[in-house]
Amino acid sequence: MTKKPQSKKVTVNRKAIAAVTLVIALALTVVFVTLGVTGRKMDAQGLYNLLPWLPTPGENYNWRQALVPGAGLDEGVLTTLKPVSEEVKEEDLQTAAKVLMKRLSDFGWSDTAVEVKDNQLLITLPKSADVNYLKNILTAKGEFTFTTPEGEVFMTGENVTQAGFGYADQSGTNIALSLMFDGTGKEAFATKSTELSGQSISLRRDGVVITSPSIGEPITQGTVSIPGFTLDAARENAVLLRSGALPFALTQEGESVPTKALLLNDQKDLLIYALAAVLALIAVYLLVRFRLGGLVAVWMLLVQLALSYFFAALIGAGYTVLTLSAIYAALLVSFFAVVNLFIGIRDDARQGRSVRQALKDSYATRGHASLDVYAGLLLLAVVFIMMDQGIIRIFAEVFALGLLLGLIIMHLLLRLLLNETIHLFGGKTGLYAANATQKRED
Amino acid sequence: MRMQKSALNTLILSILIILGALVLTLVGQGMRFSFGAEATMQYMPLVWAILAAVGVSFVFGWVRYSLAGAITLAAAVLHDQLLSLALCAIIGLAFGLSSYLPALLMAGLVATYAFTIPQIRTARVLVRGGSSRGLARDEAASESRNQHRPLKMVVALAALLILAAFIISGNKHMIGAVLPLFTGLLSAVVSSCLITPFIWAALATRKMNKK
Repeated sequence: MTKKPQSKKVTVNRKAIAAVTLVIALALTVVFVTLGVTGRKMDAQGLYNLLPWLPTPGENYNWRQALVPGAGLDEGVLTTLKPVSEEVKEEDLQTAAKVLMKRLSDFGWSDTAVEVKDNQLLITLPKSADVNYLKNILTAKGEFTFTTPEGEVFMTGENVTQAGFGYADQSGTNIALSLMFDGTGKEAFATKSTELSGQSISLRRDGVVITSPSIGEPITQGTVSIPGFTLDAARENAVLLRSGALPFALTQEGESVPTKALLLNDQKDLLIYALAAVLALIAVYLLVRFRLGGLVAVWMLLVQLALSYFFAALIGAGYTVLTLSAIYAALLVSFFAVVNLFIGIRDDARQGRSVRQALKDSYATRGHASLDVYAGLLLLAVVFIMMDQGIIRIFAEVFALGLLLGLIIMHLLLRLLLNETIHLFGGKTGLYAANATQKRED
Repeated sequence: MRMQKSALNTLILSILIILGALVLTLVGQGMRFSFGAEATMQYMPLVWAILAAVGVSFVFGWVRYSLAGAITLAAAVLHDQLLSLALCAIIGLAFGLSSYLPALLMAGLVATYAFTIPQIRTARVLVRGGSSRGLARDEAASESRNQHRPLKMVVALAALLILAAFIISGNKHMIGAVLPLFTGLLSAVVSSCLITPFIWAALATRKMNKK
């Protein structure tokens, strides 16, 4: 008669699993943060590099290639433009400044400055800007006229209310400039396109013909799409039409020179030190109030910060006050979530509950408040992105990324690591809350 | 709808500040910008963004809580955004605002949501009472506000420290650039402490009286 073999019971060392989990998470964090500070060459020839993305003081690090600074937070380039004509009125200079600012903003350069000084216009651009290319756009007077083949002007750029560009066909290289006219322009264009059907109408910029499309049929709807442009040319013309014409032509005075950051004092790295000091203060607060739990929370906040900078660099957000505000606003939500959660744990622990149970209950009650805050703000950010209202959309993109990271980190990762910490170090209440009743977890 | 007198007085004060800033702006004295940024300032996108924020907050509040919660959250958003913009218009005379104004004004929604939503949640729980007898609406609103005061103070302090980091490292123009963040925080603190708990209480009481 055979005996039934006795099955071996495998006991799982929960503490060992917790230790391994924490060590792996810590190792991944250290590697990620180190890469964020130093970057890495991906091949021997140096053709592919992972650029560092965490802002660090000093000129030794290349993070400014990943997070390109604007003129607000880093040195810029000062270009001086002066009117070609000798006598200009102050109000015309102010008008010119506004037109230039619109052009720069339309090109996506929000971190710039245009000032009127001593009958000249001082333009501050980020160091990364192609100053020569932008100079051509800024100095162009931008007077658009629509003319007949004989050169008779029947309409001007002032009659254009909207200007955009898009693909004219499937080739991907033929870009069309699309224009919408006001009432006067619509009527004038309808009349001339009917009169000149089968001939062509010229579009001129500052007297020079830029395109002469032929008129197949009368255009009476008040909108027209003119193909035959390159992407750069279409974009330039659209920007110039939207900004309006300068009251006078401009020319550059002297060479462009480096200038200090628009928003910072002389020490441009002071901001990095100041933000690091704030994070240190927040860390001290969490450590003193919530001890071991606070340490894990600080760790998670650091991970969120590093990931936020990483994704901001990935989407080309740039190192600007806007990007930093979005990142730290999302971090503030996570700080709120963490403090809210730990207050719940502390209060439950003071009433005699075990830390593990207090953690579970805190996520189930107070945790839902922070979930609602994350969800509500994320919904708002998505709506702002969809509305596509210029600078609000740029902010909302980085903010939404930060919120999403915060939500995942604070509600999944933090919970996991706190549980593992309790398994490894025990559930003694004093380890997770200051001045709490001591309760040993069985 | 009967609201507590102090809440009404605070609301009236906020409205006066908003109207004062509007008058200043219309006569050309408010909303001073640095570096030519006024050329990039478009008010219609900002108006649409504020309206969208109020609308989304109302719908979110209704789905998550109740009509009283929805109106409270929407009122908080509208009050905070308008008061923040008004304070920027006034204080900006000293420092000069930046082209970031519309975006950073929206950032103030962080404080509005972080201070208002937990209070609404806790007030609802206190009214229901759980195993013990629930509180009256006014009492629940006040108790909820008091319970969350330490959390609000800590979060507000952290926000102020972050702002201080920007201001210490920047020049006068940096103050103008981050001003919307400060005014957003201030508006949220004022509304969450003095106005919105009592809007919720008044609305919830009205609902109860109708039943």
